[in-house]
Amino acid sequence: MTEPKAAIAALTFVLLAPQGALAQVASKLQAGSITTQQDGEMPASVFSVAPGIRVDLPYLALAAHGSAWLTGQQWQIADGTLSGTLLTPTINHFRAEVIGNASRAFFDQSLANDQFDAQARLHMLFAQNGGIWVGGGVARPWRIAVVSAVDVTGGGAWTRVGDATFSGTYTNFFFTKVAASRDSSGTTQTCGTRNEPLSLAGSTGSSLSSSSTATATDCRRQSRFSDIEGSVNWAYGWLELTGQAGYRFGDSYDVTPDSRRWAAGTAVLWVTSRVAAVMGGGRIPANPSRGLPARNYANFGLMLSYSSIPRTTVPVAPMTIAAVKAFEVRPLASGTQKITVRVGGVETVEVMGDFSDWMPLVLMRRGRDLWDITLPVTTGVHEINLRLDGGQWLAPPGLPTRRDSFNGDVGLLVVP
Amino acid sequence: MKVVSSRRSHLIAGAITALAAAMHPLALLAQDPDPLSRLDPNTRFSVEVIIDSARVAGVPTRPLLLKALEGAAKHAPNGRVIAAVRSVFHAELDVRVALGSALDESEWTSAVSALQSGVPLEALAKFRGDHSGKPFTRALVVMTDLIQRGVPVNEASSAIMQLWQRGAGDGDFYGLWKNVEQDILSGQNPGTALQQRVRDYPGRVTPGSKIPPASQEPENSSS
Repeated sequence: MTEPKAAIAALTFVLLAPQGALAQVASKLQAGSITTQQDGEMPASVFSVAPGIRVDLPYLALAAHGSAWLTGQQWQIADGTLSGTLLTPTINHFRAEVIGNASRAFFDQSLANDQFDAQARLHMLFAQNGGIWVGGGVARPWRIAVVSAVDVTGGGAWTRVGDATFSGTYTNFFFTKVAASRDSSGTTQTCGTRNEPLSLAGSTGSSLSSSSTATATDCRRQSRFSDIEGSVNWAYGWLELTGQAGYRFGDSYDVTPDSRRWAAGTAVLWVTSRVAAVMGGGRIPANPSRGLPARNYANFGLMLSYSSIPRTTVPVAPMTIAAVKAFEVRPLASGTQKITVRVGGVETVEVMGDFSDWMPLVLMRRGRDLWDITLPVTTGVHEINLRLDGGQWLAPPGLPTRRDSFNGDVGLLVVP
Repeated sequence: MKVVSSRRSHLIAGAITALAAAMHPLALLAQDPDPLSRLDPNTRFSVEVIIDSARVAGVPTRPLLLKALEGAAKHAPNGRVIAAVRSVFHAELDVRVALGSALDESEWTSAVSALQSGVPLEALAKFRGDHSGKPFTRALVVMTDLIQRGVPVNEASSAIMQLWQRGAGDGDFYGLWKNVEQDILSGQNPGTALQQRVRDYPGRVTPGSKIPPASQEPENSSS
């Protein structure tokens, strides 16, 4: 079995095994057709299989996703990413995030590279209604002979208006480029002659690296550009629309004309909470740090999941149910029940259920991580949901659950 | 003078108490005279039509109202809310066929949940034959959850029915559910986990006796 086939088989097994029942594990498998076109070239269509899995722990999230393309009769790995995210609790509206990624991109036979990157972000959150963040990081590309390192700084803001989430980001990229002694216009640049030949090992000849092969001298040139990007995500029941557009600032040496501006859109039609049809298209700007050119794309496919596919439209994920250390319901006198939740690092905890006519009720904070509320709840079966920091309504841990007909789950609380 | 002062302080205290009571969210809920006003007019009309149909059919209307309010609270689209309410109504009609109409609110809720999770009507009807006043709410709640966790419908319904017929009580079902949940979290196949746990029980279960629960259920809690 070839390497891509083995990888696909392994990932498919992971997805189709009953791991969806594991706590805080979410997986999805997207399959469909992708058509890409670089300027001046014929469009190329491939069948793509893109599995992904994510494990959420209270302050740590681990994720792996990738894609494999069927081109002609042969499978090839298009990309793969392993990532880990460390999150601090929210304290006085602030939350820090450290993200590390190891990824591989394989655009075609001539463009393959690996990259390690790490970044840190500081978020200021206003419940789940909006927030701003600033951050920075570094990426270390491998097998891209023309880029030795990339420093990234940036910031962003997001807000929710009704069912829509708007976000805007501004990102600066600083490159150390290793380029030819003459630029694309033929102008001689100030270059130092290297004592040893420029090593291009591992570079299979990207459009950028190939120019470096023309000379034995190199130019270590500081290069920079800035991206400003806006996006909107609108989720309304079974329909989810996402649109984004961006503009790249920088001089003509750093920014090619085909990457000045871009736009893309995606529509997701949720057939059930586990099945969705996905279609989209648009333009992707060049990614110089990975040697990937600008291109147009269109995709159409299905998204499948063993467990409900989490919808995350907020740039920083809300605390998950895994953060809840304890959920207890204890009877008090005269038909009242005291609901106690132990969860740290959140600013609001709410419950709602049939006992409140599905009106959210805010729990009182009784300590660093202790929240409670006393409610009149009659004996019998009650449906209940829990929400942290204004995020999604979730089934409380430790209770039997059922689907709620609205792409979510409710807990079934039996009061004896 | 002192009497007047005392009366005034009582009045102030009473007013504060009344204000506090009125400000309490639960008090506001209790005072909500028209909860369906949370729906948009068209959705409200459709939901009211379904509720009227339920009233005429003689099945509970409160679960329908609650489903509509749940949809509104979760910002579900209008069509989804109406479809969900209609689904509950149809499930109620089926539950009445399977179990009769002499059910309390919890039995209605758990039976509707079970049906909507995919439990066959015939399987549900078996609880009627052996009803004899024995509660089946917990059995249905556990069955619903197990199906959601990936246990095949037929396996879940037959296993739970088998235990229920053997006299398992609420604590037994809770213990079974806890154990199966732990097995699933440990990576076991849901169907296999249930079968193994149920296999552990028969030796200890005789009709009319209680199964020693694997874990007690002092309260609804997790930690």
